[in-house]
Amino acid sequence: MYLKDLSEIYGASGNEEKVRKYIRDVVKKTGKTDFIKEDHLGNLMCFKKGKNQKKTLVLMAHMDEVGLMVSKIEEDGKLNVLPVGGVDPRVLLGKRVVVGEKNIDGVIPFKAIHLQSKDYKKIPDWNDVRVDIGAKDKKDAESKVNLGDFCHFRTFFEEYQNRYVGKAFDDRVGCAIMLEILESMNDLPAFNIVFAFVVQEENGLRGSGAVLKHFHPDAALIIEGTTAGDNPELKRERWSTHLDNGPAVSYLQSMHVIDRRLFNAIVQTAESIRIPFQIKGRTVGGTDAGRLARSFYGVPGAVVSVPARYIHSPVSVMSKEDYNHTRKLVNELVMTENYLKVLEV
Amino acid sequence: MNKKIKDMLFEFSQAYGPPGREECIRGVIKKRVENLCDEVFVDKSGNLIALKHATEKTEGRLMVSTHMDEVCLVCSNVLDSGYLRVETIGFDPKLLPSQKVTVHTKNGEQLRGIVGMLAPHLQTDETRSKISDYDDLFVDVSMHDISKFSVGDFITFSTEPFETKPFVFAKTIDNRGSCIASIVALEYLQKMRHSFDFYAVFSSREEIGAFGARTATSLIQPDVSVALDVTHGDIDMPGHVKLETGKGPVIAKGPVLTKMVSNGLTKCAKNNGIAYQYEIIPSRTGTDADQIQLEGFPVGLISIPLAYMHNTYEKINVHDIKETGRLLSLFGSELNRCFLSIQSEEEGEKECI
Repeated sequence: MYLKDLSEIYGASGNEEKVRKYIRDVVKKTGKTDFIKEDHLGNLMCFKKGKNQKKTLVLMAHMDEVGLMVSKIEEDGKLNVLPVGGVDPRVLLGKRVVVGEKNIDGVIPFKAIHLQSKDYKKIPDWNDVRVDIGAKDKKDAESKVNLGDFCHFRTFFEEYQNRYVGKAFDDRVGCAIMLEILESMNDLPAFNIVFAFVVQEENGLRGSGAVLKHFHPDAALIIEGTTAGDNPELKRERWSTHLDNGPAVSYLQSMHVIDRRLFNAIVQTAESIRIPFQIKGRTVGGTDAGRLARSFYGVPGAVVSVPARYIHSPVSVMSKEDYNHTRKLVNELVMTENYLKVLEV
Repeated sequence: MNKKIKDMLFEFSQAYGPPGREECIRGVIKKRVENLCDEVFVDKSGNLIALKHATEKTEGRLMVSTHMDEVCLVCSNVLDSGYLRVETIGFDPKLLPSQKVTVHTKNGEQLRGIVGMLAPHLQTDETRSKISDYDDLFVDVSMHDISKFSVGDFITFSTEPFETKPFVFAKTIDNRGSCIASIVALEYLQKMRHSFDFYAVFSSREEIGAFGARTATSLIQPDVSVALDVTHGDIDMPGHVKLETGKGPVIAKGPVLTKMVSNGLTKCAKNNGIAYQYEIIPSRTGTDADQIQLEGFPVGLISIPLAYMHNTYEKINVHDIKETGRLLSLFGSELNRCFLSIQSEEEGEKECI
């Protein structure tokens, strides 16, 4: 199962090799693309000719996940780490991680509750985060890890009758959906498709813009794993999305207004094939659509997301139904003309 | 022996045993001690008591009490939206966000739960400036039918043990590490002579006040008893000597603990070349020893140093478990009637132990 494999691969921003290799192998195996291209940044682009070869759509998901990086090794052998992407230190205490290329086991401990007084109520910050890899001292630690080593959450994927549980659903879910769509593609898509698996989204949308150096698409469609926020302490009107309500469609996000025509095309398509969907209730957070709109000649792009709870943490929860509906919706968007047709003047 | 201890740590850490619901861990320990003892039984308080008779004529009873329960959460409310509200027995709420947990339902099922936390994108200044305490924390169980859950379900942490020699990282080493030391002592005793009956008590409900140990004491009426627990290692505590993992068992001294037992343990360690450390506890110890004392029996306390007590991963040096087991077995073997008659331990000790 692509989602399981992808979720369990370690690949923080700037460390996407293993994800890329996995995806490249799957894409090659399907034999359904015309050519595969990889750029200097590490973006993987797989081109598939469509019925209408005058038009090109970029289908995009990012391969990276949030993680940590070793920034200092203490005298007692513990590691200081800093965040790669948006990580709240409050989700780290008590969690298991792997460090470096050799996946050295480590944990992020916290002072025993018996020994806390005022610090019981103190909000953990990066100063409280240390990784213990069981090293005796600094020298011992240095024999196992290096400064600059990536540090990843170690979480295994689990499947339940209605839920997926795992790490890195933002955005391995997008990668998995793209692979499934490509694999099941028996007809030519409505137009040329570039399946773009990009790097370094989490540290500031740094990879996706370079894709436009190689292809000159008419529009883009970004597939994301997005915030749910349907927690019990939040009132319904503050939710971003709700699990089981279907794919989330964005109209506005950080630094990017979604092209109304593309937004409408997605909504109409979902309605026409009777797929439930929801409009994302919050506008926080950016995606590569924002980067593409500001790169090259400005490529318009829209975003379809699978809602996931507790993203950017060691474990998130996603609805199976939402996943399947998102895949069907995106598949319909690439197999029918509507999505690019709406842009014709 | 170290490999065996590691394997037991892995197994014991995964067997659940919230206070008062120790069935699972009790079963696991029972299997391990059955062949090492003459009698094994469970008392009315849920304590598992393993008795190895003296190899000669019995001169008295030595009780070693190690609690087998663990810190946990308990479900206080079931929400139709697929979440549980929780309260805790001994757990730091700061460790919980984004933690996988196991819910033990009334039907005996063990179901996955996730302690959720709002993604950073949706945090506000207000939510960022506080820790989630038990009023805010919740367990997402939306992957299951909500009707399976009920108020009072116990919830334990779902973490996988691992070894980085000489350390093992795992949940619930407090106090499964000590249970293993007790079993190690029984193993050593197989080849030793001892004139005291050796009662290995695996006690229930320590984390809510050590009540299992108290009723077991009352039942056994030991002549000498030793509580076996874990203590804070590898951390500076103001006014205390720093206890270190890998440097052997920690013998405690304090008003709760009977001098002759503490001194006897020290002497035994010294005579047999076992490295040991001292911990000074001027008030209650927070272990089974407190309740044994209240019941009116002489008691000593040995602690195994570990780091990050009550964390989802506690860290222990396997060597310390082995040495603690060895010390206990030697203490058990060297005990004799004379030890009990010591009134003035200063003079008496020299001759008798």
